[in-house]
Amino acid sequence: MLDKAKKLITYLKTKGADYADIRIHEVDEEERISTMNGDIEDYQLNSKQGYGIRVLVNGAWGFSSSEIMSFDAMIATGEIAIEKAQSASDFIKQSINLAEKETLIDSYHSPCEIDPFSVSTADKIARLQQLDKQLQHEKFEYSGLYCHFYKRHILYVDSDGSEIKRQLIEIDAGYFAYATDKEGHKQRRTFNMPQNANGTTGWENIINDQQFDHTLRIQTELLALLDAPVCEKEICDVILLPEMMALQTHETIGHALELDRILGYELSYAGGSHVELEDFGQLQFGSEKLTARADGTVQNSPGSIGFDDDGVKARNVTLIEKGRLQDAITSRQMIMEANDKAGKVIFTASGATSRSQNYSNLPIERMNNINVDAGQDGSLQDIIAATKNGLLMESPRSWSIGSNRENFHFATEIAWKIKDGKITNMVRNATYSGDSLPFWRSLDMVGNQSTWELQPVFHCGKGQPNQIMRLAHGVPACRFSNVQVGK
Amino acid sequence: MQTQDKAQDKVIRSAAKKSTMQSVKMQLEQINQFMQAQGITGSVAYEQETSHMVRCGRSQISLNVSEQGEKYFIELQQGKQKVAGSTTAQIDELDKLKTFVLSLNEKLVFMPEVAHRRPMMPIAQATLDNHVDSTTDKTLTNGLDKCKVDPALANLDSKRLVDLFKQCAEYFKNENVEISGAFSAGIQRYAVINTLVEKALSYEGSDYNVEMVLQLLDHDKKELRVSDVGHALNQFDSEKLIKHLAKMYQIKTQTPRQEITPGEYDVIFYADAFADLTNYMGYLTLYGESYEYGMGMLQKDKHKVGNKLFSDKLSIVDDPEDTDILFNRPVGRNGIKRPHFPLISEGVLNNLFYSEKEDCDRFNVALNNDANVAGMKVQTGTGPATFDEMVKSCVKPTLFIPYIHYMNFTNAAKGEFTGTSRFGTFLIEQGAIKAHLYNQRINDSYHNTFNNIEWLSSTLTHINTSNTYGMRNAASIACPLFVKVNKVKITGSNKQNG
Repeated sequence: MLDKAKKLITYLKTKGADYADIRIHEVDEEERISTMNGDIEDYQLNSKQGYGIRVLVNGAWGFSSSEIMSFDAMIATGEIAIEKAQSASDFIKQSINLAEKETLIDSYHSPCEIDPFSVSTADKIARLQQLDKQLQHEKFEYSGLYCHFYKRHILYVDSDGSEIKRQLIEIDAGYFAYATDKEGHKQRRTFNMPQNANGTTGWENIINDQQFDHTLRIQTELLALLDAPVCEKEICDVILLPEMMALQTHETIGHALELDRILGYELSYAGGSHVELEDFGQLQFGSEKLTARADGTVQNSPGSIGFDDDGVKARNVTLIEKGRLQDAITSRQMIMEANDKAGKVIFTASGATSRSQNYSNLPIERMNNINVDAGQDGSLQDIIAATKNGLLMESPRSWSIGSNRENFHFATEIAWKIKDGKITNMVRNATYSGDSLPFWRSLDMVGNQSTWELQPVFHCGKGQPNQIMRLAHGVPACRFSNVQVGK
Repeated sequence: MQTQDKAQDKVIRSAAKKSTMQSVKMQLEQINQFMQAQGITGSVAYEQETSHMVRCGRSQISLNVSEQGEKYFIELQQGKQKVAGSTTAQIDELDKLKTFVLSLNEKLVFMPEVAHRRPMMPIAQATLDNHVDSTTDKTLTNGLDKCKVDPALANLDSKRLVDLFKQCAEYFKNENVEISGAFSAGIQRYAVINTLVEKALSYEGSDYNVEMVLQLLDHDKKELRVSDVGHALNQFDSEKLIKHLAKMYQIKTQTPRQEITPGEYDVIFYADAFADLTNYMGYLTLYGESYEYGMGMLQKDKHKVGNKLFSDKLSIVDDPEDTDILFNRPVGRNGIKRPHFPLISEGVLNNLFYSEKEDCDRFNVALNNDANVAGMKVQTGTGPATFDEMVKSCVKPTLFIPYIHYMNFTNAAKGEFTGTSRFGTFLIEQGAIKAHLYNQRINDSYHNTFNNIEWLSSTLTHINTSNTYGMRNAASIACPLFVKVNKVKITGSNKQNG
C-alpha cells in the first residue's frame, strides 16, 4: 500500500499538484456492545476501508475520497481532487500556504496492554453483564452500559516526503441509569469512563475493579436525586467537578480558540469566536489561576494520535498562561493565513491539531487534549471548606452556547448545595449560565493534582460535512465566584 | 480542465454502471438467497451516497470535496438472539459480503437471549414490478420503489457550486463584507431486504442544500444568513438568495442597534427558526420510543394519543404522497411501508412514530413508520404571506427571530429549552422595523411555544434539516414562512460581549 501511495503522490505532482497527501485507512474497525437492564441491547461489528486524497493546486484545496482500493481508482480519485482544487482556485483571495514542518518517516501506536479486539466476545459480554447487574436497582426504569472499541491503522504519505503509520486503539465506555423523581419526571446519572493520562487504553480498563465503585456511586447518587429539591435561582459560587469542567473547557476555551473559527471559516455553521487575532498575547482571558493547553503529547487519550493529518508531530502548546491568551488550536494552513492577516507573526508553528474524522473528510482544526493545569488550592474538600455559599456541580445534561462562544447556558445532572464550607444537600435540575470571559476571570480556586482527571469526548461535532471527533480534557475541580444558577 | 472533467465523468459513469439501483437490488437478493440457503434469518440493507460540497469562508472557497460511500448493514436474528454489523464493499464483492455474513453468524451464538425480543417481520413487498430506471430524470413511483433523482445534481460540476459565492461577492463588491457558506449536492440511495421475502425495496433521491452568511465588517461583525433546500437543480435560484441577503443587509445597516430588557415578547419566527423548534419539539413529542422510555416531554400517565397538546392552529403531517414534502419516501430504511401519517391535527396528538424494532419489542408495540426518513409538513395558516406584509402586520412591539443557534433541552421532561437568536434579530413596531437587536437568549418550553401561536403564514417554504452526520440523508421540513408566537421568554442577550 505504501508503494501505491507514493506512486500516486508522484503522479499527482506531475498533474499539477503543488502539494498532495493521502490518508489510507487500511483497517478501520469498531465493535459496539451495549446493555440495558441485564440484556445485551446491541452488539455490532462495523468495518470500513478507504482513503482520502488532498491536493493544493493554484493555491486552493481539492479533496476526494473513495473506498475502491485499486491503484486505478486512486488515480481517478486523485484527478477528481485536482479538478476540485482547480474549481476552488477560481474564487480565492489568498493562496493557501503551508507552514514549514519536519519531514517524518515515523509511526505511532496507542499504548495498550490488552487489545480489546483480542478478547473473546463471550468474555466481553460476561464482563458487561456483570457490571450491568451491579448497576441495577429496583427503582431504576433503565440502566446499562456501553463499550465501543475502535481500531484504526492509518497510512499517511505526502509530497513533502513524510510517511507515517499510525495504529490507534480507543475505548469509549460509560454507564447510565434513569429513574422517575417525586414530580414524575425522569432523572438520570451517567458516567463517562475517564482515561488514565499516564496509563494504557486497552481492555485492562474495563476489567479494572474501580468499575464496581463507579456503578455503586452512580446508583447511590441517582437514588438520592429522586427526592432532592429543585435548584433555586440565585447568584452563588459554583465548583465544577471534572465532567462539568470538561464541558466548560470544551465549549468556551476549546471551540473559542480554534484558529479557523477565529478567522471566520465556521461562520455559516458552528459560528465564530469572540477572540480576535490582536487578542493573542494581550487578552486576559481568565484569572491568573487559569493555565490551559492543547497537549497532543498526553500518553493515553483519544486526543493523542502521535501526528496530525498534516503529518505534524504532536506538541504541547500553552493556550492560556496565568489567564493571558497566548496561542490557538492551529494547523499549517491557518497559522500562515492568520499571520498574514495580522501583518505580524503571532503563531510560529502548527500546533499539530489538523484532524479529520475519517478518510472521507478533509482535515480541519480540531481539539486534541485541551487541558487545564492543576492548581495550588488543595483538594476538593479544601475547596468545599473554603466556600460560604455555593453549588458543587457535575455531569452535563444540556448545553447551549452563543454563536461566538461569548456566553453559555448549561444544565447538570446533579449538584450539591454548599453552605458555610459544608455540603448540606443534593439538588436536581441545576443550571448555570454566564458570559465566557467574565466567567473565566471569576475563577478563584483551582484544585490540585488529586482533583485532575482526563475526561474523554468521543462526539465533538464541527465542520461541513460534519465531522465527529475524539479528544479529551484533562481538568481539575475549579471554583468560580458569583455565578447565576437555576435560571 | 477538460481532461479532469473527463476523468471525473469516467469515474461517475463507471460507478453508475457498476451499481445501478437494479444491480444493487439483485445483489441484495443474491445475499438474501445465500442467507436463506444457510438457514440464516436476517436482513441486509444498502446505503450509498455521492456528495459534492463547496464551502466558503472569508470570501473564498475553503474546501471543495467529493465523497463516495457505499455501505452494507447486516442484522442476523436467531430466536431471541441478535447480532449486527456493517461493512464497506463494492457491487462486485459478493464473496466479501457472504464472508461478512458468516463471520457475524459465528458471533450470534455468543449473544444472550433477550426475553422480550420478537421474531423478525417481513419487509413490505410491492405488488407491481419493482424495477425503476435510476438514470432517468423523471420522478417515478412504481410499486414501493422510488427514484427521484435529478442527474444534474448527481453529476454536478463543482464550478456551479463555486459560482454562487462568486456571484454573491460580485453583488456586494462595494461593501465591506465577508461571505461564508456551504453548498452541498448529491444523491442518496438505499435498499433493503430480509430473508422472509424475496424482493428488495429501494429509494434513490437527489438533493441540494445551501446556506450563505454575510459578515458585516464595518458594522461590528453582525451576521446575516439565507438558505435553501431542494431535490432538483432547477429549483435553485441564486439571484433570489442574494436578493434576500441584500434586503436584510439594508435593514441591518439602516436601523439602529438596540438592547431590550429581558421579559416576555411576542415573536415572529422565520421558517428556519420555527422548523428548528418543530424539529426539536418533535424529538420530545412525536417519537414513540421516547414516549415509552419516558425520555420526552410527554408522560404516559398525563399524555396520550388523542389528547390536545398544542394550539388548535397547529397541524403537522408526514405523508409520502404529499407533493409539498420534498423528500417523500414510500418505504423506510427499516423496510416498512410508510402511510399517510397525521401527527398533530389542530393541536391534537394523532400518532407517534415507532421506528426501532428493538425498542418496540421491549414495549410490545408495533412498528408503524420510519422517523429517520420522515418529512414533516407544518400546515400553513392565514397569516401574512410575505416579509413586507409580516412587518406591516405588527402594531405592538414584536421581535423577529430568523434563526435559533444551538438549541438544546434544559429539562426534557418539562419540554424546556434554550437557544439564542442569530442572523438578524429585529424589533418591529407600528408596521415598521424600528431596530435590530443583539442576539437574544430564549429560555422557554415547547408547551408554551406551540400553545401560544397567534398565526401561521399562508406561504409554505422548505427548510433543510439534514445534519450531515454520517452518510447523506436528505431531510427537510415544509413549514410556514413565518409563525407568530406570543409571550416568548427572553432572558438576556450577547450585548456584554458585543
